[in-house]
Amino acid sequence: MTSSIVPRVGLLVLDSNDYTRSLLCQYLDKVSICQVQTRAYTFEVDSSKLPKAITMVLLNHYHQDQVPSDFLARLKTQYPQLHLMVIVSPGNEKRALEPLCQTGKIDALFEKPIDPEALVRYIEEQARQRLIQQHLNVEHLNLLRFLPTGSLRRIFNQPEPGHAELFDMTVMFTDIRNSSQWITSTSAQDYFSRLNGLLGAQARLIRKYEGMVVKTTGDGLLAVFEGSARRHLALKCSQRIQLSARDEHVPVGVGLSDGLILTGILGTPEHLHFDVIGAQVHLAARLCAAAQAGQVVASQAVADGSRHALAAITIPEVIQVRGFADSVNCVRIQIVNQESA
Amino acid sequence: MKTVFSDRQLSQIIDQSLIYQCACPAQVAKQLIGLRDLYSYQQNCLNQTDTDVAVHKTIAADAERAQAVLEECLQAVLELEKWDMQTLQMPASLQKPPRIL
Repeated sequence: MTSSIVPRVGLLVLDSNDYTRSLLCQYLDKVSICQVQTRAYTFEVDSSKLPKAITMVLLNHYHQDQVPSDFLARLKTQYPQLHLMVIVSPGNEKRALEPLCQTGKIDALFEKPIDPEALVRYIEEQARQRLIQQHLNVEHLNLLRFLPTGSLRRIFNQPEPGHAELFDMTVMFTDIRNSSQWITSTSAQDYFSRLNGLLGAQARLIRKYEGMVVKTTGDGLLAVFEGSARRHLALKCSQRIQLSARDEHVPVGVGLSDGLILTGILGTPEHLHFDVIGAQVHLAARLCAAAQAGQVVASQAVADGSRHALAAITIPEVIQVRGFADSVNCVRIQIVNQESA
Repeated sequence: MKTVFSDRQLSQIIDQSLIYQCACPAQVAKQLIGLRDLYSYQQNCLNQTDTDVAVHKTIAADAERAQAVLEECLQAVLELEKWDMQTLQMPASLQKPPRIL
């Protein structure tokens, strides 16, 4: 049996009256693509703390409520993408809100008494448009995530199985220590969500430092950096990942190595994926395993190629790595402070 | 313009009739607001010719007469439906049973 999660749009109904809040909720439950939340509207509603995932707000305004212009303007400033709808009496109440509608602070004004079917149709259409936009955003993000950097684009310009090239690159492995133990203290969904959040944050940093995520490795990432500044960028990125992990109280190890890497497209014409292969990839994985929580272990080639000193305690080491005949010179870096550059 | 119901009282009636199907008094109240807007517009409209003056006066006078008729109608409807005439609260028997949230 398979289960699927149907994406839904978060709609918050604000109404100071229990009865009409309930009625509105009853009607809006017909919009299957909306996840409706309700809240008693008072001016204690904090516009900066909107419930997560809310992208549409429907306010039923009463004449005895204070004019909500300031509240609505704040809400729109705080969340410019929010679709803001207000139900209001004709006359003075409506007139007071019309300027906000004309300036785009309110997206739709509905005059009481409302036609509930028309309201449902309108909200359904808006929610549908939002779902399409969300889908496009995800697609866009996915494309960006896998967008190759620098000369790696050559590989992607010819996306055929077996197409491969050698590049000088710095390879990074990250690994969240003991992450599998979390699953004993939380639900599988929460575990996955937390893991995804942490790896997503790492991926954004990698992208920021001009690296490319090749793949996730369960509770870590494999990424590559290329170009003449690659070692420096990879080290800086590792430092940022460790600082971020420290702030989140998450134990992370990072391994870096540098050298010739074989990059290519693996798979069949129906299912392709980009991958990197070579001794340096293997070495980076081993160095990552050798790193303790909060540490970066980098090969000497990476440390030598980085032009700036990092704000870190750096300890040279010679370690024996399984699969390598000779000992490997490396540095163990314990991040101590914010980067200065 | 002489009025029986204030603007706020009309808003109070309309506010309680959120949903279209149970909002007959609100429909009358809404028309009253429209008539008041019409009257106010005529009062402030530019008079450049004698005809303009006559037109605006005619419309304003008829809006006022219509206002009086509809206010009487609203009063009667609210009494028929047994609204609380002091607070202008809709009787609970007219409200659709709400779902418990």
